[in-house]
Amino acid sequence: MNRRSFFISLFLNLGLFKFNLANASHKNTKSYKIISPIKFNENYYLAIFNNKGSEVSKVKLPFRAHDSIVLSDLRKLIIISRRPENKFFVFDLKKLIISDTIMAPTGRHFYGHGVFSEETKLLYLTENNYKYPDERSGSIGIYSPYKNFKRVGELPSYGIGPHELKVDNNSNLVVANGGVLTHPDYPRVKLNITNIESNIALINKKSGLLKKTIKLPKKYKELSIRHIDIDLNKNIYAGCQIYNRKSKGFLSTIFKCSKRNIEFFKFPKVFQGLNNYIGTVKFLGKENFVIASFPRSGKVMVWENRNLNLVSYLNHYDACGLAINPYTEEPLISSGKGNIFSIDKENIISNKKYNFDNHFLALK
Amino acid sequence: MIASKKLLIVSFFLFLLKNSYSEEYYYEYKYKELIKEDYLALLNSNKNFLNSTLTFCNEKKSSLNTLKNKYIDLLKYWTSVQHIRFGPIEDFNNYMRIQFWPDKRGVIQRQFNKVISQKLKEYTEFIDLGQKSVAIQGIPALERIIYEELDRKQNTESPFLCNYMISISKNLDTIFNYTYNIWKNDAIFFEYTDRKDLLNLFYSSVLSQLELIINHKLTYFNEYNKKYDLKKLEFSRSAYSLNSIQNNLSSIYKFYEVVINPLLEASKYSRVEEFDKEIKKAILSLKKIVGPIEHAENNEQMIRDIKNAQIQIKQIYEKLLINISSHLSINIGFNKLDGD
Repeated sequence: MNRRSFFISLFLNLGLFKFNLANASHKNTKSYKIISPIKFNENYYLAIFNNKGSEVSKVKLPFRAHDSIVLSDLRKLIIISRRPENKFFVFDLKKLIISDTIMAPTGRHFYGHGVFSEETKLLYLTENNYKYPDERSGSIGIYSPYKNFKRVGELPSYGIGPHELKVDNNSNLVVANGGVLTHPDYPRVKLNITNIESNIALINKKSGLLKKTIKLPKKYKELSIRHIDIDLNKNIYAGCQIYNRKSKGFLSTIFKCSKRNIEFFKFPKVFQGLNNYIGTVKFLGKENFVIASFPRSGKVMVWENRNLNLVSYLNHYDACGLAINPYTEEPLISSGKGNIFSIDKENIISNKKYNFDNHFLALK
Repeated sequence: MIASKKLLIVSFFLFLLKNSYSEEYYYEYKYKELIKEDYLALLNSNKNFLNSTLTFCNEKKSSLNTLKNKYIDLLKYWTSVQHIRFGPIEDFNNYMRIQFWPDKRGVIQRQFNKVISQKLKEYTEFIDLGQKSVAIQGIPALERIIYEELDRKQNTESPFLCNYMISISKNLDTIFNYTYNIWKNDAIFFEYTDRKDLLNLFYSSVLSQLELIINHKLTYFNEYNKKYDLKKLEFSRSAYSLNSIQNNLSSIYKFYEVVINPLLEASKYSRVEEFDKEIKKAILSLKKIVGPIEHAENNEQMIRDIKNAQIQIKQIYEKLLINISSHLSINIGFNKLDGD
């Protein structure tokens, strides 16, 4: 396909895509909340907005936060610190206050992501047990929200540098082990830069036993798997980072992992300079699309799940966070430049003084 | 007639040369070429330092003071390119290997003490040293050797210290050589970044350096400001911390002069003169500090001057971050750090 015909097909697809989602969003205008960690005036906050973009609350945080987890039954939110910090906060969604601060055990820090299992009613958070300079460092801390967030156990992550994790509908924890060894003494240094061993581990969350490790083909060995999502058929979608430079040739940084095989998403040649960094990956069940953000190149891209072809993209500088409108399932996008907007670029929030952090949520 | 033909040919080639890189990115490219020269100067300065250590250690001809002078020269050239945080300097943790700082958890001292007590041969072989902790591979370790260990040990009593120092310098030589060679070769350099992104990268580098100056470098000690430890200042042992900031600002001013100012003029920014005055005022405010800032403890005048400089530099930073970047459509990334 030449450049021109590619753009024509992209344009047509973009129109179709927008049509479906726009319909969905306009049919349903129920109100929802947007919750995001932000940087404002050199300080970090958790900010809550309504879906018209008005600020409901802003609570100061002593560190930069990363991902958040909703505990719907308890009306609480877990805000996890970004590495190499060692705390998570419990935010009371009724009183709009931080009700608890939980510390990781000595010698551990969080990696910024966690997940709540409806089945076990437990929280699972990725951790670095930095006493060990090898795969023993990858750890999953287990906390019980129903026992005052007491730490009730831990599991190995079966890899180095676990980042995002999910639960599938088969009692498994699915963990993206980024493979990059770090230590809080050297906050931004990658200690095993020439030997990154990344994987996705499927772990039985009750027994802690490893059910399966998904490793990448040799050609993709440099990829660090960071962000994942899962569809109802247990297909895993994973976004990666690469630390090499462009001259080594283009490598796709996003793949789908089904029962049978690993398939990398397709990038037309014009989109192959995306700076090797995926910030978030989401599966859009309603449309059967997969969406991913590329904050370094300011792009958000959408692929069709069946054939992994690119169907749409948009440009927005520093776009990173992706959340799903809880009523319409429309994707929402946040950027470090102070915007939260819908996929058809309708602005919900625009405030240049706010840097929206990597991940955010949209809640009923 | 022949002379005018020659002139015509020369003019034609000059015209071609001028247009050999895109006019659109002319200023950024010009600054890139200056940085290339600065890396060359750094490489040469380290070579001089290495020669000086060899003379100091092997021939015992030079004094410790000569060595200190060469080290200060090295700092001068390093702090002139210290704000560049993209390209080959990012490969293999190179930046951290040259200078691991700020060091909130006192890693350098801890690791350094271990090196000095163990005296293992692998620290004195520069290839092996390159595989060790970034904290003990570069400039901060050199400073500890020269200004603490050698001062204490009265010159060349310790062969291990000498060999370790030579090993660090050779390790730095490898890094500087690698970095310079990539900056001087456009074909390789532009595999790291597209020309169109060069302005954003320089701009973000400058902002990061200004943040570092405001938050970590420009500090003072008194009874109300106890959270800072004197020894955690950037170059406390050589008392070069203030000079380092001045060199940073000079390089940043050069960036302003070569790139930002012409772009602002070309885009008819109405407040060019005002900003120009402010940036000069910030530089002047630094010059007013009668350093070194390592001696600022309870020196009220110096503390006042430091606070004033902090305010001036912060104003520059904020204007660059909000007004200027917006006017020039420069994008400052927030969600770009890896590991997240």
